[in-house]
Amino acid sequence: MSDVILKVENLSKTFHSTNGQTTQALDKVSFKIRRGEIFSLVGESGSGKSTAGRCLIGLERPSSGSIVFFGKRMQIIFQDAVSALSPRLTIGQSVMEPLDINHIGSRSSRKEKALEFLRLVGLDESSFYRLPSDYSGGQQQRASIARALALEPDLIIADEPVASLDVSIQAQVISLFQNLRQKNGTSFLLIAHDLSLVRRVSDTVGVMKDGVLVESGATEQVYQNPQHPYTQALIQAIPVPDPAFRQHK
Amino acid sequence: MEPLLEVKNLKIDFTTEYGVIQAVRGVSFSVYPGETLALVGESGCGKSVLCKSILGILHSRGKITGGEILFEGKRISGLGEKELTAIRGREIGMVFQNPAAALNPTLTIGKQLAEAVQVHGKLPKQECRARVLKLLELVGIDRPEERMKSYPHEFSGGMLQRAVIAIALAGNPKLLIADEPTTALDVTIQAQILKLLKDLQQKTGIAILFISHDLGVVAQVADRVAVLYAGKIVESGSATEIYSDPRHPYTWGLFRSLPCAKTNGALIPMPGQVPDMLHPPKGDAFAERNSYALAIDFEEEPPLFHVTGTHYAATWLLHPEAPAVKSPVLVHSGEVLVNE
Repeated sequence: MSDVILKVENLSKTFHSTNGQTTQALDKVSFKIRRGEIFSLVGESGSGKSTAGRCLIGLERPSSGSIVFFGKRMQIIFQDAVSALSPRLTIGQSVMEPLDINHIGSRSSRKEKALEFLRLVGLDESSFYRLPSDYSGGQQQRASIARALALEPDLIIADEPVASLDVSIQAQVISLFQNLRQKNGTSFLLIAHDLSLVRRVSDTVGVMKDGVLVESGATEQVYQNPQHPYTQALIQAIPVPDPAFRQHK
Repeated sequence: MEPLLEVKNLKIDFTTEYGVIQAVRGVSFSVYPGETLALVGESGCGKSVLCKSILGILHSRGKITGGEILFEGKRISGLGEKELTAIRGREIGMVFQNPAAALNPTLTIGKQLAEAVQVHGKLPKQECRARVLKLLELVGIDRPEERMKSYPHEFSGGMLQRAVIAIALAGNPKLLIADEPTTALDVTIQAQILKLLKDLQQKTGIAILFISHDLGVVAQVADRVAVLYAGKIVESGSATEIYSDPRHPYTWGLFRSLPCAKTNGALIPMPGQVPDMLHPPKGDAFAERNSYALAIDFEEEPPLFHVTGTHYAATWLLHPEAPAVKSPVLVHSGEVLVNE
């Protein structure tokens, strides 16, 4: 089992609303993430992919099932970097905060470390002293990634990390993930709705619909030979960037 | 054919506490009856500001400082609120990105549609109702009699966007401005809405000004494409010309950044950031991020060079004396191939 970093078995989550209605957000979801793997969960809004991520990191308590984590640390990156960073802390303070809380190293070594991670995500030294409001959405997302990296997690859960970013910035963030995986062997659970992005970056993909993992497998295999009708519909709906290939005449 | 909408050398400045931001810096384009023109660009390039200026709903800090906007040959920039009200909805309809925010959560869909219908001329109750039902049918909402009694929260995202499109069509406009109309929707719903827009265009002959950052989506709907960067159109042409023969390095960069682009290795991100338009750089605004930049790019802004009668691009690479550079991007058989 040493190559597996996370094992999820029969994970279910039911939400109860005040008027007595229940919603089955996750229904017996099982999957494994190997070390150094980029595993993607795709599906439309309401399919339960974010709930799965939140259960893994303990932001939601699962109704049943098991989650076994074989690594040391897990971190989450949210979609909205602007609300994920405190507007009152400088970027440097935000990145140092997890180190401060965990009393890792000395004050100066923490600063050194924060600077190192800022450089890694492509932000220059001056960002350490500046407020998030001085930066664009893409830069803020990179700062929040730097903070997620600060404790050197071996698994990063990234919930729609680039959905609110421009295409050119998306590419920057995604290459950053790939570099981290290559350099540090970091594993990723990428939660996304952009199917061509998922195809590009992930080794394994799981397709969710109404709380059920309807299909999973090696990314290329799933894309080239989708088995489930829902996966087929999703793949067909990807807009092709070629006017000669209009999906509807 | 006479253009329906003509934007001529439009300049828009925003006054902020830090100084003046040049959001739109001399943009010209036309939309002809029955066609779809897509404005493509990243956030901050000025595309939404442009749409808002057409409808006269610019933020109070924004001001048109040059150029003009003509609709059916008549100048509409600088018109008063009263005259603009007559144009909004009746001549030009608008669909925004987030349908949930465009609707009133406390009124039924039917009420909101009826409101849009009545604004353009009082109708007797029965006629108004018939028109509402017809609009709902037009945008593909099933069981309209039942659905018109629903509240927005009872609709899914795709249904909401259909309802918003119905409202935009209530006054029978000749032009529909759609600002990222599918960005907030799931991919299968996106495909349905794009199809709906194309069907509507076929049925009613409405012209569409389509704003998007997604070259995949644009390829599905556009007849012509204009690429915006830092408040300027850097390349424009027919959809076929832009996709099969892109000439501006920024357009190449947009293609290269597509996650579906087939590269020799990793994804190729565009370096750097959109320039700060508080302090527009000297020369070409894209030069800093442009690996093909020539020395002159840092000194002087390139004019628009014609590639064909309909295709032009603002890059010094098209100057007869410039070194020959081949496009690293090839769109072929539905795939984007990058050769670098």
